[in-house]
Amino acid sequence: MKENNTFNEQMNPNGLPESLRVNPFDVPEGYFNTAERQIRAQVALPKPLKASEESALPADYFAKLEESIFTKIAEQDLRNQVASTGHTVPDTYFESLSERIMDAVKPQETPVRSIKRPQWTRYAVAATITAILGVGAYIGLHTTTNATANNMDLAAVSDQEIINYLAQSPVSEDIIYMAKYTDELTTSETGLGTQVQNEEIEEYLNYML
Amino acid sequence: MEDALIIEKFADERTREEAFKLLLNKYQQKIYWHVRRMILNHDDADDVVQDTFIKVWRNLANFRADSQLYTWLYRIATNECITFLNKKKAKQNVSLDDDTSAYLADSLADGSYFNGDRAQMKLQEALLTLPEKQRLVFNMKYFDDLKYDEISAILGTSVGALKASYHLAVKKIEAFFNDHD
Repeated sequence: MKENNTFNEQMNPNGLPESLRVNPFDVPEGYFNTAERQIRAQVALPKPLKASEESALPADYFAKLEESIFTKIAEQDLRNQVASTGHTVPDTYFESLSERIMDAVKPQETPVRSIKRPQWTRYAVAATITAILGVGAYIGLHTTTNATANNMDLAAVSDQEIINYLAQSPVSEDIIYMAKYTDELTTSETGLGTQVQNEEIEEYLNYML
Repeated sequence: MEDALIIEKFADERTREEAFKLLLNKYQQKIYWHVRRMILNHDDADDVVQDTFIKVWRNLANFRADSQLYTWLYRIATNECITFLNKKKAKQNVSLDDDTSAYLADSLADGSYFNGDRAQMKLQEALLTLPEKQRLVFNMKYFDDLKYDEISAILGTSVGALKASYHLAVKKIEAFFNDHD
């Protein structure tokens, strides 16, 4: 059988007997199906560390490695003796913990409580309001009546009586003085206060101060 | 449930409570035991756990996904523990640098919710001889089985320093066990 896929395929077939033109070698079954995968896996493998790459390790790595190993041994011995703390919690503690935390974080709504009042308080409140309105109305009406009476009385009072009344009040002296002074004015062209003597002004100021 | 989904649900006002319940179910026990190993007393640990999760509720909306959620939770819980222990020390007029906390020794002696055998009690006594941060590192590595990278993210300490701290803690505990046979 002629082997077609060998480098000898292009050679002159006359050099060797045709019977030798065969490939005597064989490959495991499915070799070519897995070869590609195997080659890719080899390529992906990390290269062995070279001396220069080893120097990338921390300087004290091997010194600390010994320390780490002894720590691990001591830790393991300790774990063999004591694996847990021995602390416990009350029964169903974790079941209620979530609820209590949720209660604490949820915004608290102010509870609106209705106060049940006895029946008689309604009547007491109504009576109080009525009394306040009644007293208010009485005072209002009484005040209005007095004001009207005052107006009527003032109309009947003579000017002289008013002057006499004002004269009794110390704060009214200025008004009386000014009223008397304005009566003495003869012409409107002379301004108010032009006929007042300096001594009189000085005397007035001393009196006021 | 994935942490990212919890955070997403929490961001939505309508699903906030549901998300927080999921978070509680997922992490409350881990956080409790982390706190309990530091505080020792159950009632105090309960208070600290609640304070921790209240802070989580208030700040989870601002959580940035550049760190792991559980790392963030552990960090809050750890801070709450340290704050609590400092307050206790201040109340007992003990220097903050003094690591032999009388309060913790009392809690251990009290024995409430402690069902440990002799060896477990001895380990707790040995742990009380450690400085607070060393005890914290030991607990996280030994009991919580956290990686150094994770502890580093929680405590803000370098991995190298954590390894050294853990090594010293184990050596001290080993020595304590040998001396108290």
